[in-house]
Amino acid sequence: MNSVIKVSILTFALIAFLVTMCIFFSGSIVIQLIYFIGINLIFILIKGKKLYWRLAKSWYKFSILIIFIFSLSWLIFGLIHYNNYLCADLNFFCYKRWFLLGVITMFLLINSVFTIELIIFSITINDILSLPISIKYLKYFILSRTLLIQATARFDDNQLLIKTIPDFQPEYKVNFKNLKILFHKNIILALTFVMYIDQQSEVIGKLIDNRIKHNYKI
Amino acid sequence: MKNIKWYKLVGFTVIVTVVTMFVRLPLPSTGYFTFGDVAVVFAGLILGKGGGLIAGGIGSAAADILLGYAVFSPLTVLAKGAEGILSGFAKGKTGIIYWVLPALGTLSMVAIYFGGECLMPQVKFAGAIAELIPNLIQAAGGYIGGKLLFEIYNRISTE
Repeated sequence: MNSVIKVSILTFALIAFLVTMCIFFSGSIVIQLIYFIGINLIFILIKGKKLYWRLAKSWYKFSILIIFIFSLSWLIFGLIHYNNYLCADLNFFCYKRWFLLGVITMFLLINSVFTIELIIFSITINDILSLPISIKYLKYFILSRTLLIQATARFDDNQLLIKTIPDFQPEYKVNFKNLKILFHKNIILALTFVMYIDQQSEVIGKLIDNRIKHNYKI
Repeated sequence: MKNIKWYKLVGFTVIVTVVTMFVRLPLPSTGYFTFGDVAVVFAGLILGKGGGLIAGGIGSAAADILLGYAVFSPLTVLAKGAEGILSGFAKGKTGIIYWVLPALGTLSMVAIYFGGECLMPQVKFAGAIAELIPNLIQAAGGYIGGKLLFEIYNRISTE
């Protein structure tokens, strides 16, 4: 499919989702539930179980935490009898209202996550590079992509490099006592990325500038 | 901003993305401390306000998208952009401004995330409260680490 049409359709789909599900039907538990079942199935079918579980693992944990905090709020507002918010009595009727609000928020969150991820995963960097954008702006995407690929490939090498420093050779257990040395180790790891990417951006950036100068006469 | 080469800006944006994605420290309690805020404060101190805004905002949002947190990416642009811009104001400064502005930057990141998440229908105040403590830890670590990284980088660059 033409990348302009593809990106336009996906952008329209994103806006349609935000307007309908996040504004008009944001309070409807039935519609949110139907969408929840639908988007979970579509995501598994299109992107596969592996990617689904990778996302689901962290987001379901977070959404359960949201329901817990809504329940906690019911308890706190009930204890202090703060009447201006939702329902402030320590009874089952009030709890049901707080819990329902938590469940709707959970559905909306999961629905948003999977919809947005599905849309974003459908746009590749090649789609962006095929868009009719001037080379003046396209060069930013080209360099970002190149640097990202190079830096990702360097990760294992950088970790190995850190291990050559005597202080960082032992395997430190994660506890409060070792937090300082582990923090320091990661700062050095970040520094290796900084030095490498900074140097590469200059080399590749100048090459891109040179090529644009000769090919596009800008 | 005008005296920053375009490739330097892209380079630092990618640094923020890569550091956010790959450099993380498991915490003794649960979860991770990501070094993204360290990179944002550092980028601000090196590039200044304009560069800090772009590298911090776009770099962190790109990491959000690549890690599966795209739902937060618009808020990340604002929060990390503010962190980068305020840290950037401290570029070349000494004394109290050099110490206070990056701290204000990291605190503004926490405030923007909290306010923004309260307004998000998917998260509401419950999610915002759940994220408050981790964000405060991120802010403290980002401030200390960002300045530390800047000092080390400066020492290496001048040698």
